[in-house]
Amino acid sequence: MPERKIAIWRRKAEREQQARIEAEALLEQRSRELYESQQRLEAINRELEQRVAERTAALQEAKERAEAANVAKGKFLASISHEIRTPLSGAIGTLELLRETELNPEQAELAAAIGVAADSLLDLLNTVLDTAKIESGHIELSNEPCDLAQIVRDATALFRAKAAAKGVRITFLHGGDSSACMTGDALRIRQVIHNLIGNAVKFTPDGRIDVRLATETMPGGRLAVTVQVADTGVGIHKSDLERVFNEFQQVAVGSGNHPGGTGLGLAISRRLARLMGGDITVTSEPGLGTVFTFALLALQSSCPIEKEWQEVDAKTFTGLRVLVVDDNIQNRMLASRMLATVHCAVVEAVDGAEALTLLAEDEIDLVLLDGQMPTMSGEQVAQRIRDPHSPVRNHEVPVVGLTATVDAATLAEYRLAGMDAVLTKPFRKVQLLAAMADVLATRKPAR
Amino acid sequence: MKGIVFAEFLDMVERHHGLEVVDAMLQAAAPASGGAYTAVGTYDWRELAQLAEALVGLRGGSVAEVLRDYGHNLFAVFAQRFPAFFQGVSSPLQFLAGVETLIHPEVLKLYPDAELPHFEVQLEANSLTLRYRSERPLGHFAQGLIEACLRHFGDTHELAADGAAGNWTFRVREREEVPCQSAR
Repeated sequence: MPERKIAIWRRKAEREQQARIEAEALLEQRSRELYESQQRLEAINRELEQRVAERTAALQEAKERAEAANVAKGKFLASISHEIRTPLSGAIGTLELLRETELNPEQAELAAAIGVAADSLLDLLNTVLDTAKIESGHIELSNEPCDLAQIVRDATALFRAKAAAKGVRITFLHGGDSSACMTGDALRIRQVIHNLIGNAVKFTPDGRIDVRLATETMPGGRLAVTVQVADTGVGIHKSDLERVFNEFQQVAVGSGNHPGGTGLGLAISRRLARLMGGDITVTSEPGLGTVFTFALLALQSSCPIEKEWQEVDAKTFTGLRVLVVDDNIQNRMLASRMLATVHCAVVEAVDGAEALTLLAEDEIDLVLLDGQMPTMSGEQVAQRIRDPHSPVRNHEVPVVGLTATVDAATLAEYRLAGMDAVLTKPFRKVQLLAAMADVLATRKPAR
Repeated sequence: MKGIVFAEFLDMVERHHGLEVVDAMLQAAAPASGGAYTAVGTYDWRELAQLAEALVGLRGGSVAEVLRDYGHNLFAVFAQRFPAFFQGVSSPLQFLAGVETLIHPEVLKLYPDAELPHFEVQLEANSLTLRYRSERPLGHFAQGLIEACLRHFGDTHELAADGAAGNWTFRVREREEVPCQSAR
């Protein structure tokens, strides 16, 4: 090959080589850039993760704060309820005692009026508490056999006089299967039905209210239950129909009169119905009337044996030595008075320490023990009574707890501490006597 | 300008005129980069003009002709190396209309520093107008590329090119009759 051609080829080879070196350098540079960009991305990623973690922590903290605030609200409500219930129970109980004394007709009428006011105050207190409990998800439904026909019949009877006073007739109609016994929370079902009938009475100036109970046996041992409350009252405008279930909302009624109340009843009733797996619906025609329907699917059950408060024989308590432990003088007086009417011998203690001393020295047949007391709580006193090493004479003495707190957890703790029964304040004399009869039957008195 | 344009130019000259002409052309043009072009590198576009002028000095003809010829050659190289851009494309109008919106974005993914020419595209039913504005007077090169594109799609369309330096208008429209032989 001539030298010139060799030189040309060499130059080409040199160009190729140079191009390759440049390409490699570019490739390295590009790799480095990629690496650096990757590093930057990772840094951004880390920063983002960090930010997400911080944000999550902040949210968690906010959530915890909100939950704590909610718990505080619940506690506040519980404690306020206690604070209100204590004097209220005093007032209701004292009133009950007052009405058992000789009163002239005017005094009896005034006392009855106080009774109505006190009852509605208690009702209001319970309603507000229920709302708080439902809101915080703290409501617990019990599952016990309940006789729906009995509940509806009783509820109808309860409102009959009030309705009759306005010229409104209430009729209870029972259709479907004869037995309407089901598993459920009788107290809450009663609350819902009372609310529906109470509302009907409130908004029906004249005419009638039909309360229909229909039950149908379903496969799988279930019972389809419908309670319908139909009135010939003022009715509700179509645009207001759903609003009646909103909290604190009261819709305008035909007459323009404010019906009173908290506007919570239907909201609570619907939420209770839904908690039970049912619902409440409404249809209405202004001027013609309203139909509320409470429908529910429950498990069938045998019918419960109804406890009759009134059947307690007062003689059961004659001569019984009862220790009343309460830091509140009015409450002690009230319990003592109630017990005196059934001829119990009452011993009073102002706190846990005094109660334990009396229990060590005296023969006591039964203890009425307040839950919330300074220094030593009722729960602690009950534990000491049941403790076989404590100087108490009779560790098996029947104990009835008294409390203004209504949450299930507290009641369960009281029972665990050794109380045989727990009564919620305010209580009626018949309830106290029934509870006493119950625990006396379970635990043997000292004598 | 990306190195592939220079590298392919040298290859074309070598194919058409032999290595000796390539060597002589490089010596005459004496490009600042030294002429060792790599496809992935970036070089001054003026070197392409210098090379074209040097080739004209060696083999006669005009720079315009050289660049137009090179456009034809480079399109064939593109069609062979980047078949993905031609998939599902059935007409030159469709292809040319997508240069700005489909092909250039892909090029920029590989070569973020590529300085691509800008075309204003106006597509009508049977015709397309490309307006080329550039600081680089490479209109003939663009013309060659477009002509090769039309040929690639079967010469169903014809081109009317008008302009000078870096300011050109290319009108592509459907032929009224398919010619018996190639336009060129």
